[in-house]
Amino acid sequence: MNVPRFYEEIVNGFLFQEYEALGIDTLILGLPDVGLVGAITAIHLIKELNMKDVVGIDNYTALPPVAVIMEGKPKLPIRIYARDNLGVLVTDVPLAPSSIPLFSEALVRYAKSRGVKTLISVTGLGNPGRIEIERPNVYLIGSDQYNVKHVSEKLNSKDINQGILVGPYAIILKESIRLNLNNIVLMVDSFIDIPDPGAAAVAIESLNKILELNIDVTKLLEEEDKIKLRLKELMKETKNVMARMGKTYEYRPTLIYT
Amino acid sequence: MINSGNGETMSAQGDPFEEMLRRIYREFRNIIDQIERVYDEEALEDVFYERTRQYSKGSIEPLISIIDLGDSVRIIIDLPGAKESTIDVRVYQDYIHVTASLDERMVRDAFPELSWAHRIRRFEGRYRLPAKIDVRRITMEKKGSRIILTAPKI
Repeated sequence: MNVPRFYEEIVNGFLFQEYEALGIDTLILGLPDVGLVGAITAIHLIKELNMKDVVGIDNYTALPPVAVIMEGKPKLPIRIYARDNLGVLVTDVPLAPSSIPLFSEALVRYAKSRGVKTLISVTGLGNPGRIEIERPNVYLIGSDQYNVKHVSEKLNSKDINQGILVGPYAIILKESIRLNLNNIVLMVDSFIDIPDPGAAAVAIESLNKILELNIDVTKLLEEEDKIKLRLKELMKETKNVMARMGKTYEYRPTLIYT
Repeated sequence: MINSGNGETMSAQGDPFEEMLRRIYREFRNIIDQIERVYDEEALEDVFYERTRQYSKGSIEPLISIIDLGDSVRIIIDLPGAKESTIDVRVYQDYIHVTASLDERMVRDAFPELSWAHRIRRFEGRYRLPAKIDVRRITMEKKGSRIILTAPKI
């Protein structure tokens, strides 16, 4: 008799393979983007919290045909790691621009169906003057203005009154509003096209305050060079994707101004 | 109007004109998706050839960020794991050339899954600048693994 080893669900053509039931309240998203701030943050959280991958995500036509081998075991390219009521999403391959809308929509729908209450999108805010900034600033936007204000007070973050957000986090934000899911977009001043562990450290310290965690960033900063060397190629691929998905819109003003 | 389960909007009355528009839109979306996939595949092909070419030479290309400051250009070259005494940056009017030897231990730590197949020994990259610069008035500083060059445009 065949005993199923996992539960599968397909949302928008994306396969969600659950190895364990996903019982989390908060999901932190570490998709590759500006300065790889989200990806570096996610990797550090997974390591420091000793998280376990509980969900694998794939799409055989929209993603490159890869199987990621980790400790001798094949894994799907996008994974959700979890511990207690916290989850972290990472991807080993950048999402191609053509797959971003369907993936982003599928992710929000899947999270909502599993009872996730808050999605935290972590990303860099490309700042050409980053090299001169010792302590990067934190900026927040979100689906629920009351919640953003509450979190902003905790972090002493800066507001973004006007601007354009481009990429998967833009769709995740819009879809979260549609489905009444709390989404916070946590942005930190960062290099645009160089991996920025310093900005990721600031993002983690912000998450510590939001989620009452106590994650040390010393090791992240000590291993900065190794992380940057390791993620160099992912940054190159991500830069390519950012250019093609219209990331440049983020660097121009909006149509209507106040 | 009603919303179908798969997210498509349908006419409750089955208006043939609206149905036709919907089909046209779907076909158009399919064509756009196919074009985008070709672009994605071409970009991946470039990355593949560039990466294999570098690895076969035992080098990797450093990441650089070029920022246009109006009257001047700022170039940030990131060389994590480079041996400081071997860093060589040559600046010309419209391009720069960077080489540096890599710390082998750092390479093994950073790429344990690659080091058996490729012996990566150094950084090497040549980059075209967005404008001609005055190389005599260039300034340079180093912050961690990053070298920052600032030069006025000609």
